[in-house]
Amino acid sequence: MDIKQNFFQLYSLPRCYAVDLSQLQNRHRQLQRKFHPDRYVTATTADQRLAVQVTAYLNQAFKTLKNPVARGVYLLELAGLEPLAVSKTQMPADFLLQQISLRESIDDLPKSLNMDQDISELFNRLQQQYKAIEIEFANTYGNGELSKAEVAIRKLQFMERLEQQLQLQAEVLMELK
Amino acid sequence: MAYSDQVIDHYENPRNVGKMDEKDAGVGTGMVGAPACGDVMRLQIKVSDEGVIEDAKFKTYGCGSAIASSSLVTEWVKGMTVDQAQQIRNTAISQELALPPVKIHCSVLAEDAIKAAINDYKSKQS
Repeated sequence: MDIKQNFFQLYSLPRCYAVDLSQLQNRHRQLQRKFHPDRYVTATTADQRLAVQVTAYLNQAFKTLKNPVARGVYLLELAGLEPLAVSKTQMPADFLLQQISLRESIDDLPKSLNMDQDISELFNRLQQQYKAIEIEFANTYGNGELSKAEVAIRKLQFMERLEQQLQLQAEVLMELK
Repeated sequence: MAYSDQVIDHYENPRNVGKMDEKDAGVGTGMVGAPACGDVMRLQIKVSDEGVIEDAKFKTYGCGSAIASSSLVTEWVKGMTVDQAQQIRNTAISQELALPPVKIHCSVLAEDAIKAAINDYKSKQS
């Protein structure tokens, strides 16, 4: 196997944002079995080393293509961009305002009188927005509007972080109950 | 990872947390976000007719270093002219707070926030 192939080539998947996750999983399992280091115990040292390298590469590829944010970032990186560079702090103002208000809603949860409902409503809101941004990315990337796609994938990264924060907050609040 | 005493001080006693009226002609509002960590920062300045920053407020959703960076910047810019504040660099912020390399991006965020606030103020003047 050529580890200079990109992750899409590796799994014989089309280089686009929509990925058939069950196909990805199946191909990954096949390749994993084929190159599992246990199968190389009697092989030459060079082949053993190669099997370890390939396995590490496969794991990285699978992790990247499975995650919606990592997959989008990877597609843009293949196009020579660096969407999550530290210097890229400019985001649409309405998006940042919305982020602040969502953060405030998460912070206000401990004061909520109807906590379970508020938590599940927030999760729903985040998921809806997440899906909308995924569509925004798929469309702009598909049309070759890469700078718009870059903004969309950054938004998605913010949403992923926000969801993690909500998850954390919800766990803490449930334990206090 | 251990935070420096300077970061802990700003984190535990953040200066100038709050919000000003963004519609006020003398107020400049800067909002920025760091995608890598999901931190969001709002920084505002109130500029006098003479072009001196009289007041500054911030609100940051993020880690201790991001909060400390924005808190420090609001302290620094008070009394500065807009042009002086424009010269603030993230290296000065990270040095003052003794930020470790993995947290340098927090100081970048604070530099970009003050610049965005100044740009917003200037666009209101023209």
